[in-house]
Amino acid sequence: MNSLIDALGLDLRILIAQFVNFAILVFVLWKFAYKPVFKILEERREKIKKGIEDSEKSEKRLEEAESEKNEIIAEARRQANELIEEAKGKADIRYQEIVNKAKGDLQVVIEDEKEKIASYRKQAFNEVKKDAAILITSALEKILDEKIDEKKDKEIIENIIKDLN
Amino acid sequence: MGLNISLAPEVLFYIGTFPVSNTFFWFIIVWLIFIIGALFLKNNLKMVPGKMQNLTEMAISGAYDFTESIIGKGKRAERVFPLVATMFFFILICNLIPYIPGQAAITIYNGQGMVPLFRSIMADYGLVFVMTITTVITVQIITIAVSGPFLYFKKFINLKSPLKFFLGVMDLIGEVAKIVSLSFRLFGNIFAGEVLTAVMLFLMPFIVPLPFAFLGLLTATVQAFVFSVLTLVFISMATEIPEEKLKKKEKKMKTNQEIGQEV
Amino acid sequence: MDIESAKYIAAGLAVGLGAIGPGIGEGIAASKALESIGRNPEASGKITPLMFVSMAITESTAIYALVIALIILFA
Repeated sequence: MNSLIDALGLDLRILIAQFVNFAILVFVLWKFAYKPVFKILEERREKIKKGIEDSEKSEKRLEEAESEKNEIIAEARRQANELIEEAKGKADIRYQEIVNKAKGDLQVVIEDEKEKIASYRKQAFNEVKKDAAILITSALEKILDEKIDEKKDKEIIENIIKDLN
Repeated sequence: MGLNISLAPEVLFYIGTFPVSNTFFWFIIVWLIFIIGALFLKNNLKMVPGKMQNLTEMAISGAYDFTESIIGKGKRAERVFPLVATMFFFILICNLIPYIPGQAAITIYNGQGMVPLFRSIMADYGLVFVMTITTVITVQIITIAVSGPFLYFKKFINLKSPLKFFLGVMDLIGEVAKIVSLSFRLFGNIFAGEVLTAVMLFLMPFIVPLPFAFLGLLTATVQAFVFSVLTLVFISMATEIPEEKLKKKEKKMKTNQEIGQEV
Repeated sequence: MDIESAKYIAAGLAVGLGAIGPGIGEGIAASKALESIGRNPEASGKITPLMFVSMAITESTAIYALVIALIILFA
């Protein structure tokens, strides 16, 4: 057995040295290679996860904003339409009012004018009657040339005018 | 020129009375490369990886995934991983170094004769033995921790019946055989590769050794893999709770339940 | 025949005979693994490492033979 150990070149001191070296190697690799690599892998995984989540979130937010925008636009349009409708209605009413008022005013004016015309006509008629009476009296005076007494004369004329009416 | 094949690594020089063999010399060099590499890696880790970092990360995370696939996820894999992964990467690099061309020709005078400066590092039984012993001690510690010292010794020394005693002895032999087979597998393969290359180079220096070199490359990778995977398998076997203890636990739980029901 | 030459013959025989069984066994393991990969190519990632491990365990007998040969030669 001893010669086999010699043949294999086993030396306890070398074995111990190699064992210690190997243990140090395991420890150093664990401390300085595996652990940091796992840590950084984990960190990167977290970061990527976070990035994906963030992008999803922002996409969602964008969608929300888009829909909100559309909603707002639709609302604004609706309101504008409403306003226009209202304005139209108001304008119609106002128009009607104005027209009615104008019509009323016109009526009043027309009535006025009519009255005025009527009164003018009456006046004119009366004046014409007076003139006609004077004319007729003068014409009759000239024709008859002789004045019956004034009283009788006036009576006759009035009778005639009454007849004329 | 005769063919000089030595089972033991050749001694290059002595520091005091401490013999420095060629395998030990190269072991220290590879060891330094690993340690400096690890320190360099630690100080140069970036969030956005470069090519080297990418490769390292891929190797380490791949190894970790494989470990998890064998031993199961979580704490167990985390604890076992440093040992197994270090074994794998270290053996792999050690096995691949002999394929750097030209180094086989360098010899050195050690006081008694010419010895080759280079020898495949794993063709040193001492180193392989040390790594195997590390594995076996780890396995034994885990077994004791899992099943308890009483059950652990009961497995090997059982005087209840002759059959059980015989089985216990077989278990003991099995443990020893584990050490022998695990260490001699790696050593034998690498040493045989060395010898084969030497013989082929001696007989026919051109072209003919090439296929053997390719075969050796395959062996180098596979042996590194096999050594670490067997370590992993032994450890994962040791972490399984033995049947007897499981039965006891079940009984305990049952009695607890019964007590609970009574209460 | 002196004891020295008997040792060499014994060592050669030990490794040579001991290598027969594992050689056949590993061949069977490899052929079965390749067969199953051919039948189910997606499982090759799972089969290959298992094949290597089982081949390594099959190899044990040859390694014991090697150890015996070394003991015969040197002890």
